[in-house]
Amino acid sequence: MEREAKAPPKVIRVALAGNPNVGKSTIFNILTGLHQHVGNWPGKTVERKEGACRLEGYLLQCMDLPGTYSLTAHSAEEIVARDYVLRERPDVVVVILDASNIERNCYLLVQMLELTDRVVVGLNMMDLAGVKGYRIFPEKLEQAVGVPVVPMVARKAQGCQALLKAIIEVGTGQRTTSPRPIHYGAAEPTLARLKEMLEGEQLEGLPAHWIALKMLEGDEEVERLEERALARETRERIHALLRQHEHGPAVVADARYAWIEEVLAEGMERPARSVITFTDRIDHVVTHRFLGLPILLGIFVCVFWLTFKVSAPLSHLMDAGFARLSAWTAGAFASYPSWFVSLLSDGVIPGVGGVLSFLPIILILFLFLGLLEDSGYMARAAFVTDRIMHAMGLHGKAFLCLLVAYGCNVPGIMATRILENERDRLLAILINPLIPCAARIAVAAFFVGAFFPSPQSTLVMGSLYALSLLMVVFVGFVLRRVVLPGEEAPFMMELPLYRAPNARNLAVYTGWRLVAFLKKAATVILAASVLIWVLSSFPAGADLPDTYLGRLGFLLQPVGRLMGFDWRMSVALLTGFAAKETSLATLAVLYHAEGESLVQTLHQSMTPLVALVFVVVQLLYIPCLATVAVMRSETNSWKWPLVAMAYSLLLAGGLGLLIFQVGRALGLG
Amino acid sequence: MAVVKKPDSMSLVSLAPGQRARVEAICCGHGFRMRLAALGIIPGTLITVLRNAGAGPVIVEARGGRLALGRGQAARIEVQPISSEGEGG
Ligand SMILES: Nc1nc2c(ncn2[C@@H]2O[C@H](COP(=O)(O)OP(=O)(O)OP(=O)(O)O)[C@@H](O)[C@H]2O)c(=O)[nH]1
Ligand SMILES: [Mg+2]
Repeated sequence: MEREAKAPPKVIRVALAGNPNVGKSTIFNILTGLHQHVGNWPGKTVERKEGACRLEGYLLQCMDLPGTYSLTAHSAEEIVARDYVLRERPDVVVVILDASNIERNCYLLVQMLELTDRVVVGLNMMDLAGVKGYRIFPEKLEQAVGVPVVPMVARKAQGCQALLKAIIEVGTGQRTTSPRPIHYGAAEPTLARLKEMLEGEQLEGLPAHWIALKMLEGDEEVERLEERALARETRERIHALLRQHEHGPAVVADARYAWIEEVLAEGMERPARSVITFTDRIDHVVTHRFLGLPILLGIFVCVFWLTFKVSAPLSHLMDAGFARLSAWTAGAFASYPSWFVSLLSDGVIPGVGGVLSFLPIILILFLFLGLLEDSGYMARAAFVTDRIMHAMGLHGKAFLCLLVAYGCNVPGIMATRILENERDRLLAILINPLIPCAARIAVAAFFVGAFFPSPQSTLVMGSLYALSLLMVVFVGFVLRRVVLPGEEAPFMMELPLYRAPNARNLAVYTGWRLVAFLKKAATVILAASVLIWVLSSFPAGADLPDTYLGRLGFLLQPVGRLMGFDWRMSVALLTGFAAKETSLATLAVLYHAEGESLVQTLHQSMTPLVALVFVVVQLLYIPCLATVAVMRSETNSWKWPLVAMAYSLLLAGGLGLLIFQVGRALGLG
Repeated sequence: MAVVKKPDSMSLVSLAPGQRARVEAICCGHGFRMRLAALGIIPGTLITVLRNAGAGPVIVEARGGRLALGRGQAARIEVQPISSEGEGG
């Protein structure tokens, strides 16, 4: 029987490469319709992401590679990017260049052309080139480079069609590319000799001329490959030759920049003197030696204050709403079995509702963080805090990971991949859980709002932030000296141009977090609420203290009592390990009283001092389950998450004890 | 590898903001040199110091991009200052 099915689409495999922060993810999102996280500080895409797009009978399988400045073997991202191109051999490599920083960006392009000639250049950010006074002529550039050059403004989705067309032409071989050759000058004879020596060798399918070049550059990965693939004799001959050319790496880098200068001389015009840009003017103030730090502090105080201010009334409104919903449910479902009504009105609604009332805080905090990130200020924050971070043996980039953690520790820990040095990464991962994430801040804000009147509450919240920062510095200092001594890693970071934040990016960024939060509410927290309800309702007919949960609480009591907690609060901390929001859900279930909001019941059950101790403890006591999981996967061992859990428990217990005992001695409790 | 100091060469950290200079040599470490190369700084590159507060990191402009460098890193870059008038390019 003849098969009538349409011919399957021809698959073209496309890799998207480029320096950090040049718009790769933006372009990837437009092409594939996926929502990758986009922002304006170098190094957000830390894993490769895959997506597909269909066009004119072709299926383009796109890979968003992490941003890299070069293709050496000095960082995990660079190895990921170059191994993909070398070993998976995509049909087309799209190199995205930032037109406003074209010279430096071309360094990656040259290196990519050393690897493969199936390259298409996406010349992005054409709208910003003018700001620098650059006049770029894409056709002339195309002539000079010898591969298709597509001018783009990805933020406005301009140039994407032309890019797709070029990808298909190169991917199908309709258009052959002929990259401008690179002349390695003084190193040419050595390269030729190396290639001769490599002739006929099995190099795991990698091109000999590239291996020769990397040998000259002293590439560690290639040295390892050498050991696997070459006979000892050949290796010794090669090393003897390389020893005569100590300056190999410098000559190669020089040749690449010479190539770039030639290409740019043909393809663009630059002003003799760099023009003073908007970015220069802002940087003049925000990186000022005296003003920089106060401005940074000011910005963050504003962000947190506004978040708190705007979200508090909304949160309370939602909380009260859920209390009424639960009361209404009890009445409306009166004809159903009583356990079912109780599950709904005492378990699910107060539990999930209590957590959903965080929505405003989380939304607004992420909106502000996204705004700061998209504008380009984050990189300046790293510059300004570099000196302070040195006290912990970290540098400014580590500050960015801590900032992200104010939203959520999970992305905060993932962001530590921008740190090149293993020791720095570990340290930044270990102190990360001390930064109170939005969920913990929301629990804290709920308590503080309930127990302290308005001007006082702002002060308390401020001190909580200050306390957590103090703990970060303290723990960082100790860990750095005791657990992870070692050399300081170099600080080198690009400062991008400031850009007007983009509404679409912000919406995607915030929306993404929101969905993650709602998913958590619908799964972990719903399950926890039901579990807590079950544990607190059985054995059937028992009074609350005699239920399973009550008994568990009493087991914890010897410790909890020292800090003034009643058993319900101990249980709430226990369940908070699943997700920090859960502790509020637990309290909502355990303190649930007909028709009263949680605020009212809490007020009758504890003193402000105990509430404060509870807030401090829940801010510090243990990384949540998701954070522990990501710590384990990022460090590849259970040791470090366990260390983090141990030290945070000790820290929280110690502080809780101290505050409660001192407070009571002062007659506050 | 010994770096032969040219008479006028000095460390990048001793330049004042606004001063232009040509990179002469980069000291210590293959990896460090390669990373700087990727960020646009190799011997021969023209740079302008944008920020140098006498302590803490510095900001330099090189090849049209701006870069924050830790003080320790900047100290390892030997430069030759250029008077603001007669530079060639
Ligand atoms: N003005 C302007 N901004 C753009 C353009 N394309 C992207 N951007 C912005 O550039 C920033 C970085 O974009 P991303 O897509 O995250 O860059 P990336 O290359 O994926 O970055 P990494 O994942 O860090 O390597 C975002 O703020 C974008 O909105 C453009 O054509 N013009
Ligand atoms: Mg990206």
